Amino acid sequence: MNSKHALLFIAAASLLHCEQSDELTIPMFPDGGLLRTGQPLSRDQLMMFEGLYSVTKDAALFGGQVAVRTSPGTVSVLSEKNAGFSVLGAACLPDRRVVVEGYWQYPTLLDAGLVRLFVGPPEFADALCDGETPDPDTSFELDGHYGNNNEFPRLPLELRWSKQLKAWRGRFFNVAHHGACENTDHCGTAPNSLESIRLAERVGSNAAELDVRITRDGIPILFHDPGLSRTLVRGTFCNGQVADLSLAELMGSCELRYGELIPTVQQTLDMMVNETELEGVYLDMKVPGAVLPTSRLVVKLMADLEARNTNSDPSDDRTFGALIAITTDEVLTAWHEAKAQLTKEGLPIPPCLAEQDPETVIAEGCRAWGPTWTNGPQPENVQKVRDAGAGTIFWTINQSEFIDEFLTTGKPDGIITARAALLFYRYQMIGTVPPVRPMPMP
Amino acid sequence: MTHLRFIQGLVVATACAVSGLAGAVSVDQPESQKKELSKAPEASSLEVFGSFGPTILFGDPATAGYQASFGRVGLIGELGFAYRSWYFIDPFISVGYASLARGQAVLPDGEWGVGGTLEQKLRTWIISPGITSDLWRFRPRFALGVAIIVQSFEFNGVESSSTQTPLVAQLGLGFNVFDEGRTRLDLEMRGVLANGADVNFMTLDVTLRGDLFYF
Repeated sequence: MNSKHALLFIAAASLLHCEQSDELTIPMFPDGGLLRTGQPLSRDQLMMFEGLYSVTKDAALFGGQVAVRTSPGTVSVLSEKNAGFSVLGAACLPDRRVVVEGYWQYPTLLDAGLVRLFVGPPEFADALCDGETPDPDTSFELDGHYGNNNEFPRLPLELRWSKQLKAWRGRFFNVAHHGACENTDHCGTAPNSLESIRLAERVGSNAAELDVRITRDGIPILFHDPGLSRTLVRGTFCNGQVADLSLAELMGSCELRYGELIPTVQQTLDMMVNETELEGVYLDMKVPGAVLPTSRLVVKLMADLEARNTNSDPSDDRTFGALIAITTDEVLTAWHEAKAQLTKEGLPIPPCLAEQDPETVIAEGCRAWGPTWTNGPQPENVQKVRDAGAGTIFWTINQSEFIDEFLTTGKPDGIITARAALLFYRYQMIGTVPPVRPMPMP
Repeated sequence: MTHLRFIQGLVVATACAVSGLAGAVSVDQPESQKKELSKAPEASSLEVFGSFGPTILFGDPATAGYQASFGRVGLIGELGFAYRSWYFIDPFISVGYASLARGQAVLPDGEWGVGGTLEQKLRTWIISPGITSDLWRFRPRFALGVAIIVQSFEFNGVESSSTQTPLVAQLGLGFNVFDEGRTRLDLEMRGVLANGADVNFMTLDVTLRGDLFYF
């Protein structure tokens, strides 16, 4: 090869761009599994599954102990090992066995598989099939198998109930960062999507941190970056800056990583309140222009919830809090302007969270402080904020050793994490139940 | 249609310029210089070239939404100048325009207001310096420049557009099908990569080249 060819080869090689992205398909039983043939357990019955369990057979999957929590229609096994979790459904079968089956996954790895467990001993299954809700004791177990990928579960797995969970609902906020998954995870849902938020409570969260931007026509949407980068969205006509496109243009031209639509804040609040048991949302204002329109939506949500909770029908009661997160000095200025405008219109001021410092939290009358974890657990400042009647939610902690440090030293009211299963488990192991609620509960 | 007419005009103008200028140069040249010209490409020259052809855009429209139609085949026109060196590398600069894709999405009523048809268009200008070379009858070329990518919409009578200016790389391979001394015609396949905007396309061009004058 002479110099001429070499030069051209180098030029050609410099153009080659090799991008490989491994994707994981969440395993499913091909025929819908045994769940398809059974009668799903009620929400109250699912609650009996909650607790700390010892892993009595094959600790290779989740370690020697797991926490189990429930959400509408699902039983979630949450572990420390690789922040692994299992999302399961439960049903009473015609032969009066109770099956608990679904999938397991390590979110940061490409490892997942199927799980099929049965409730034991039989008297618990009988009671559940009779529509009763027995109290669990140390004889209660989930016994069965797990597998890898879509292989039929053949590896033994047995979980035995050991004790009740520490108080967490309405007390400690396990806040899902952008929803359940980071962009680098393999959860099958995109960050800041409705699907990711639905998944959040199945993997251990009871609140979500979501990023708010504004479209050209002034509608708040969930999106992290200022630009429509290909790490987040797809679509031939989905280019440029979020702020340059109207909502109609975004809806007609863009989809998120797994094909989801970009959600509006209005859609998100509706979904979270009506389709999940999530207790709150941390609305991270990415741009000052998002503050006033998002505040209006939160004010409307508060009014709707108050109407639901004060009417004569207790079945539609719902506790849910939404915080406008003040993230920068520009957003703080926009917050002041929004407050002035809402006051002028005779509307209430929505609850806020300030990320700046405790003094700003107190001066603004916010319900929570949102410090970065990089400044350490700051127990004095956590207490200072708590003394003022607010809570502290650190962002964003994913590693076990730091989660432990903050749980034991800072003792905050919540942590934003992309490893909800890990945080849930570690909180149950070593966390302190906070005395106040940072999310504004009615 | 406006883009099509523009590109057609660009190609016609290029062809006229190539033949006209080449002719004008030849009229003014003495016999001795004409002999030199016949030795091309040993002599250096300033070459003008124009390309025209279809484009095929990579990627797909968003399918989760409301996409009703999509066309990924467009047209490109390009005009450029190259210094045809006696050495093997010929530097050039070119300006191109391509109409890349168009589509329609049908939106229902929503938070955006009343539903309707969203018209979508994607087009680009490309300004690229680069290098090229004649290898027997093949003519590879590599260019690195800037693209001005324009995405435009029309929805319920409201028009809007947004622009990005990513770096753009071009890698092409032409095959010479006609060589008449100072005028050449190539067929060229080219990849155009604007990764910064994730706009990547291929072209299949007819390239007409002519020497303006020699050094």
